[in-house]
Amino acid sequence: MSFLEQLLPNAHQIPERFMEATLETLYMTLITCLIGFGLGLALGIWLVLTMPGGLKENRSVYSFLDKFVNIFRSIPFVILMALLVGLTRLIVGTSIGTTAAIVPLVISTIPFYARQIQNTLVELDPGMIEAARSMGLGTREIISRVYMREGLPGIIRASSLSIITVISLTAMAGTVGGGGLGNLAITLGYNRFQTDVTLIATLIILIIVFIFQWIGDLLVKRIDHS
Amino acid sequence: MIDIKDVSVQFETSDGKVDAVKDVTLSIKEGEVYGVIGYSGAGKSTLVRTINMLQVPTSGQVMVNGNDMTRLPEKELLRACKKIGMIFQHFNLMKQRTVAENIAFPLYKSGLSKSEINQRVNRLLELVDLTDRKNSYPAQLSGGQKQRVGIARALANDPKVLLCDEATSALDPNTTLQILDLLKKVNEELGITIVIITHEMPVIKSMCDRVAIMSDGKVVEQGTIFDIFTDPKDPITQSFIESASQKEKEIQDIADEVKEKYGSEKAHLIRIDYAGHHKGDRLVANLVKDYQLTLNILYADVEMIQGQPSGTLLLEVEGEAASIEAALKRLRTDPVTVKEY
Repeated sequence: MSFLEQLLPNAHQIPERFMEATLETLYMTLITCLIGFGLGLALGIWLVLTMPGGLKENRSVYSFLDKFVNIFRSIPFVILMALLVGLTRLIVGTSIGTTAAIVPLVISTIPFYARQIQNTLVELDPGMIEAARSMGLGTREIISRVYMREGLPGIIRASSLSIITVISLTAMAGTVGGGGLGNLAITLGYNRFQTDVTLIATLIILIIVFIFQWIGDLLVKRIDHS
Repeated sequence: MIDIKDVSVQFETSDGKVDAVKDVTLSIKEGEVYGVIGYSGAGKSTLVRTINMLQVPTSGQVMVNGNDMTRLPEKELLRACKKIGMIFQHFNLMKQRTVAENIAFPLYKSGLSKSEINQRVNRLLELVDLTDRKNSYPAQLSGGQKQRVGIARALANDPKVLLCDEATSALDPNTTLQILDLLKKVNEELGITIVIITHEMPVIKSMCDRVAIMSDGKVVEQGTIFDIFTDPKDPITQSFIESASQKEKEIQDIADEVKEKYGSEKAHLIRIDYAGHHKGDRLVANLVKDYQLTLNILYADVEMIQGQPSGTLLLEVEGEAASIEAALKRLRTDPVTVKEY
């Protein structure tokens, strides 16, 4: 018996399942980020525009969006998955599986990411917005040329932080039939006491997190001139 | 060029309504350098922001270049704003863009080709003497350099008007002089009308043709620099002028010292203020010749304001009491201000 077999009695027998679970986790993470970040960015910008002192200040719209974000951020993800079963079935056709898990993942990511974007953009020097206004830029131009450009380092920071949150959510989605590394860790590692499987799943998740974080930091370092 | 008529700005705060600007009427001529001075909170920044509608007035009318800014439709207002440059106390440069990109910022979608934009950016870099910092980012520049980028950026669209909001207040005295020189050059060579907001009287004195003094949202006094400096009417104006020089304090100190030394009964101190050419001619000589007085000059100061002299003399006078009396009478008929200490 080799050393590896001794150290990982169960995990070494199922490398293909690890590979499959890793791909599922990456699939859920990336699709969720793609959709969730896109919609979250739009919601975040909307929040910034309508908030007090914003370019399109609107108390009632802001208060509605603000409450919407707060409520959805308050619902624990496990409960949100159960709550959204109907919606998931409507969109995906089934409530079980990796693709089905993406629906609650996205719904959970949008308000979380939107709040991060709002915080990032609010931190931008209001003088830059004022200068842009003094140069005759309309709201659209200010969004694309000031918020999106000057806020880019902050947006990337918020994104790499959010990706990590999404990865942890995908692990939770795994427990209710979503697949992925979380599923593997629970069904084999926890339920069948195969602790080495849990260990390897954790390790892979950590590696994924570190890679995303590293890419994020590298990008910020590259583009941030402030 | 700029006509501000009965403009008021009201803010809603948690403590109720606040009048930041109250019924201000100003007229700024083409090509002049106009100053607005006031202590912080006087409403000067708010007033100037109504010129490019960064602050929409609650009531009143703002005409710039023949356009009624308060009534222009959105699109035309944005176009009109492109012809009004603005620079700021904290420069407000785009931090993620280079110097050249900052200057080119207002030229996006201006209809100019890439090479035309490059050409214009290079010309502006030359004007503000920053050609060698073309590819630097704002974080790598000093305050004075940042403001010069700000000026170049404000001039990119060939504006008719340049608004300067406390443009030198964050700079050291030396850099302030450089920036003021550059603004003067902009005014003289490009013929751009400049509006300067500041709380620093020396800035007004060295730059402006006319000035408005603001306090508590209102313009308390306005006029040419010469008139305001030589004959300030409002107490706020007087305090600004006093703060700009040590003159009043120095004269008082000298007068106190002399009186203490000789006793206030014996010492005759006369202060003479004059403004403009030919007004102080032979004044002192006549006192000596016609009234046989002995004069001791304790303090003398002449300033050139807008090319005209403005002077102050503090004299210690010795002689017959009757002669002094007669001399004072004569002085009071001259076009000067006489004051006994």
